[in-house]
Amino acid sequence: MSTRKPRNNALLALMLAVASFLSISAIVRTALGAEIVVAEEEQLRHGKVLYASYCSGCHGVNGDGQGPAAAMLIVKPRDFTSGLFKFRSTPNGTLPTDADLMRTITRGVNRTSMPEWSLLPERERMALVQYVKSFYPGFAESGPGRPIFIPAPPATLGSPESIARGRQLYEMLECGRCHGPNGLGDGPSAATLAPDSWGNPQKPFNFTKGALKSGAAPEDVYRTFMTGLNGTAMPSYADVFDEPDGENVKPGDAWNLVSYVLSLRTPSRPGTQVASEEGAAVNAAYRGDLARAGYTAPLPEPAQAGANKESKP
Amino acid sequence: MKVRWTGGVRRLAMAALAAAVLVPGAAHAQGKITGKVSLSGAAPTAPKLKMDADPVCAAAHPDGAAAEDLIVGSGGGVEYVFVYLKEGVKGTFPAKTDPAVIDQKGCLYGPRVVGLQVGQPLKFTNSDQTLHNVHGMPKVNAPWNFAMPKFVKQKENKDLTKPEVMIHVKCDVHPWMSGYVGVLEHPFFAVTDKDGNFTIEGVPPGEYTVEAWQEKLGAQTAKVKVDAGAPAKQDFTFKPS
Ligand code: HEC
Ligand code: HEC
Repeated sequence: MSTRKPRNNALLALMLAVASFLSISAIVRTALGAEIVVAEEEQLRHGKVLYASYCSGCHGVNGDGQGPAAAMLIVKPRDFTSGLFKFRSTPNGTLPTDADLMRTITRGVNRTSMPEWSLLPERERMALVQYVKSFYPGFAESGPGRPIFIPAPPATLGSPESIARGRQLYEMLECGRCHGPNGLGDGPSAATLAPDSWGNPQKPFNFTKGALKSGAAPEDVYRTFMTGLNGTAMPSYADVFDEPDGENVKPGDAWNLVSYVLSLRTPSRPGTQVASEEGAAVNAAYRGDLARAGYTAPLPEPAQAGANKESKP
Repeated sequence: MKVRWTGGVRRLAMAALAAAVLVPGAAHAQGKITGKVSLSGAAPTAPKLKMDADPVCAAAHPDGAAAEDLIVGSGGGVEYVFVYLKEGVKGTFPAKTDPAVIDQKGCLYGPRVVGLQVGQPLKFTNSDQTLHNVHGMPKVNAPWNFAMPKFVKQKENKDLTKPEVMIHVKCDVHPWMSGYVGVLEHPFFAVTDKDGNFTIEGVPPGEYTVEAWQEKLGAQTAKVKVDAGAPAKQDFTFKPS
């Protein structure tokens, strides 16, 4: 017996060591987990405070888009409880990523009252992202869709050849049914579009006028026609380009369509950012809207002119 | 021989059990429900659709196409009514793997109403030489909106993972194009034919609540008892709204 004792002891020691290692790591894990939970709660608390002062006037305290200013606005503030988000890098019908929401909040939505919040510290915008997500359970349940891959734009982007090919694609894919044969937003189906999923009037974009809602970088346009704008008539064309049939659509053609769409903009400088004069008087519109609605919460000054001007939807 | 309860045996046994549950009994043990859905009073005349915004659509109907939101046939029978077992179904039923199909033809959905099972693909085909966008607006399942330019001939949605009666599907390009999709956990549904008749096949004996749903007329339910072998009969009569 005694000869075996040391071995048993050794085994016991080993087991104890393993057990204590396990329990230590368990403790460490809970500590980390708890820290994460605390951090999330802290972020949500922070987001709630920021939301109440910056966003609720339009989006409503309950996130339903029914803030006091909403009635005065032409383009209605998003109802976050609907789970429908327009500006996403994720496939049609899915939820946006944190980065998508961050981009929208940072840049604002051109041609609408949605301000850009680029002057808020990143930490605060992150907290707002988390708080906005808390209005729709789908974010916690199934999470965002898988973002599409946007390859680097080719050197030919914006070249006359690329624009010409893009024009062919525009006709073949019949963007003009809604956006009009020359991109003026006056296609045969434009007048008959039913209200969007929130019950508000919708209008195809006039590519020759005004800023694109979610930005005019080539990637923004690419993203828009690949994933579509949830809740609106604007469909996803991802299938057409993801599996080009080689006959009608060829690999790389998506960038040619981008070239054409951007070439319609005046001044015609494909691939450049929103022309600055367009938004010289920006933010006045939404400030006016808010004042009319008796909403006086502080708004940060816009980082740059050129962002938000409300026009008809 | 001693049977050891190994993983393999367990799997086999489970499979046998599953087969017994999933494919409930042999065909002779099943019943069915047949009936007719009708509209009382004089049959309304369907208005003509205005398709001239798209010449391709207009050309497909030289004599004009009639609206399909309420089609009343001979003897008052109503077409495109979705009739299904709403309550009382027990057990699980594996979804068919072949898709339910809606064809876009002459700028109309054929058929306008379909049913399918949770997990079964829903396929859209495009027989038209024009652009359609297929815009599904579910409340429970994930929404979708994809473009089908004339050279894209088919597209499947495999994401209908939750039961939902009914999902509205529309084409924003052609505002008169409107359809409805019913998604159920079981295969016990039917869509009425042009005379308003329907048959729900293979129904296990039992007591059920059957619902008849029509986009303009609304829904009606009835309690139906199904016996093995004998068809149960249940008619539905709607009043003009
Ligand atoms: C002056 C009114 C106004 C204020 C203030 C405002 N928004 Fe908006 N917001 C809008 C409008 C209008 C839209 C819808 C734009 C559209 O549908 O094209 C919108 C849309 C959004 C969207 C949806 C983007 C998508 O992909 O669909 C998000 C996210 C958002 N706002 C976040 C915020 C946050 C966070 C704040 C506060 C920091 C805020 N908004 C403050 C008016 C406002
Ligand atoms: C069924 C109608 C329809 C078709 C077809 C359609 N669009 Fe759109 N599109 C819209 C609507 C409506 C909007 C505006 C949505 C909004 O502002 O909320 C829009 C918006 C856009 C925008 C975003 C503009 C912005 O403000 O950021 C781009 C880019 C765009 N469409 C490109 C295209 C391209 C390219 C095609 C063809 C490949 C196309 N669309 C086909 C209806 C359509």
